[in-house]
Amino acid sequence: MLLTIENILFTAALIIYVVTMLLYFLFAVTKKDFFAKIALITEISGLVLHLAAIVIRGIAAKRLPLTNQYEFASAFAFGLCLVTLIFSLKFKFRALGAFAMPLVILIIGYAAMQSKEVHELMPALKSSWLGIHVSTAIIAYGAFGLAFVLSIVYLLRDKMKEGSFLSKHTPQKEKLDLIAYRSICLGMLFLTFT
Amino acid sequence: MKKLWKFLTSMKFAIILLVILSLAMAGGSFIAQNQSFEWYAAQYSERTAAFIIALGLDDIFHSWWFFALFAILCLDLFFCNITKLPALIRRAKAAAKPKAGVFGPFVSHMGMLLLIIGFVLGQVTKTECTVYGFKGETKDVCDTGIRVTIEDFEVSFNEDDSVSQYTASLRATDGEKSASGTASVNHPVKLLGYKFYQNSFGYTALARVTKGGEALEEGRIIAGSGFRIPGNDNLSVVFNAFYPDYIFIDGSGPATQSGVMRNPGYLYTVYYGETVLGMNVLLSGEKITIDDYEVFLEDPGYYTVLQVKKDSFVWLVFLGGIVLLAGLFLSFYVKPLSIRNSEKMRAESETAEEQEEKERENASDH
Repeated sequence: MLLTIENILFTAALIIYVVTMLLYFLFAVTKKDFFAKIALITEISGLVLHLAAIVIRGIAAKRLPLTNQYEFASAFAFGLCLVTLIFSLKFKFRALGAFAMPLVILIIGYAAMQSKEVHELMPALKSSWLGIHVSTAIIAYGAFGLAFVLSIVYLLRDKMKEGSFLSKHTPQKEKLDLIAYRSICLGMLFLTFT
Repeated sequence: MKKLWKFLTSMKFAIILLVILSLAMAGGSFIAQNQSFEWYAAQYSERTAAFIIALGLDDIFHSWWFFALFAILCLDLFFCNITKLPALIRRAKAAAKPKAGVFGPFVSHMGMLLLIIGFVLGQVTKTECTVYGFKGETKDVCDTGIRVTIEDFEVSFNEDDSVSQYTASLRATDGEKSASGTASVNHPVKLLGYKFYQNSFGYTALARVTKGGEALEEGRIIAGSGFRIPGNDNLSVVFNAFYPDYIFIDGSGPATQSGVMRNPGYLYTVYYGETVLGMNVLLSGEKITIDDYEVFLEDPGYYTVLQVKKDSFVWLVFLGGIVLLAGLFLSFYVKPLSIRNSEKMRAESETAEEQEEKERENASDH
């Protein structure tokens, strides 16, 4: 019963992430603020639904939902989207979603193709360290994923001419580099700990 | 002389050392370790095999030059940081608050050093031993003087037949004191100063040999071992493998459906000298008949594999790790105001879009 709800929430989150990506693309093409604002709302809603799906799965399985490919990929996509949201707000880079959402969808799409069965933990995974290890790994991977996206934007901006969409709607290269650096710092700290 | 010292404590030298060490470690991953000359000769060629053995590439991680490189790296790490400390202190005095951030990299490096020292001291002084046995057996723990009795070994299952936990009840004694406790996977038990880890397991069976109804010999054996038929020099039986929940898969052979002992199947081979007389799977209630001998394999059980360790420097490794993390945190998040300001200025540089908007606003004002 709970797992059916989880399934519905997960699928809803996935659809909403796709909608968010499309909205950010529309913002990119039309340069209208309206799309960016709606995209932000849908991004946050997607995150909330995704989080609910993860929490409900944890309740249903009676353990932290971070043990198999499906659970980890789902949590990774969540982590990446969360880090993207926080960084886009902190550094006032609204169009970041246009570049990061495709990666989020790729990962959550991969998760959707895995077996969603809930299995009991094998003895080797029965440890209090499991939760700490996987959650710090998710934050680290999310941060590195974001650094990857930012670096791609940097490279694209480097190649495109001045005056194109990219040079007008993305921050200066120095700022992109700085955000990517901060993201890697966060990732490195958490990866060392994981 | 001073130039040499400057080079030896420079970052350049550290990087050179790191590159050499990484190549060595990569070698250790790509070249199979601890194999024989014949193995390498077969895998690569005789000349390459000789080259590998001569340079110690067959056991890289225990070779003297690997240790030497690492020792030099540690010394370089230490001196590199110590010599730069006075300059750091001066920078910290000149910087605005919070000053601690300046020491971030220094603290990180010291943390790494503690970690390495803790690891090396641990490796040199530790004891590590593997003990295996089934319920009721008492075994020596290598040469520690401790004997451990396996009072019980239980495997518990979940509803879907997957394993829930492996638990061993142990009693250790060193001749004077004794201590007891249970060890399960991820939950080792500390007895008499040594840590007992529940590592692995295997299967056992009770083997009985009779001749014309008369019991000849019986004893518990572990899967993978064999025994001779008493009174006959040539006949022997090997208990190859055990299937707790036996099924036969067409096209692939004997297998087990789960770990639950629902339908025990004993895979055995009968030998006459070196010749195989027969091989089959024995099920409950069945027996092996060889001439006028009867061999029974029954009463299946488990044996546990325990890893016994004593490492007095784990705390130092942990401390090193915490110091390293603290150093990282200092480097990234505790920044003197001057650095933070310059970063902020770069971060606040507007996008072209925002600049345009500002210009439009300014223009409309006039």
